[in-house]
Amino acid sequence: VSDQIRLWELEKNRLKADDGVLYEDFRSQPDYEILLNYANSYDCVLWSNDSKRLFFVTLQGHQIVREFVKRRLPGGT
Amino acid sequence: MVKASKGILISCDPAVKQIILNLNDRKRFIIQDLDLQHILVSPDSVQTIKFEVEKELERNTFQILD
Repeated sequence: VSDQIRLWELEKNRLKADDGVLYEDFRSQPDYEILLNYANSYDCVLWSNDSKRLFFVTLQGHQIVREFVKRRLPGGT
Repeated sequence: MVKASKGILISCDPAVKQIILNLNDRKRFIIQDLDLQHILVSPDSVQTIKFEVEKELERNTFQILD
């Protein structure tokens, strides 16, 4: 029975769903890096891909990153 | 200049991801296929995805037991 429970738990853990926001369409590599580093400093990046210039932040992280975009990249979002 | 789109990040192993891709053929909910183990989906589809994936995994387990 314990094996079955372990197996069941394993399956439960095979899928994780997180609410958040995907950032994409960066104009340049520095824009991407600045924003990603900023988001990372708040520990809110759940996934990122440097070659595609994409990253995903938590909903809370989005509030912080959005403010930063408004200040640092005029005309952003 | 930079786009931010809300969604749900699904993190899973490649086998589960394949199940989700198959589900998406019937009902479109994938916003973006990110990589081997990550997909961005629309928020209202998460319950359905979890339910269907669970169902599929259980079905496979029973098949092995048979």
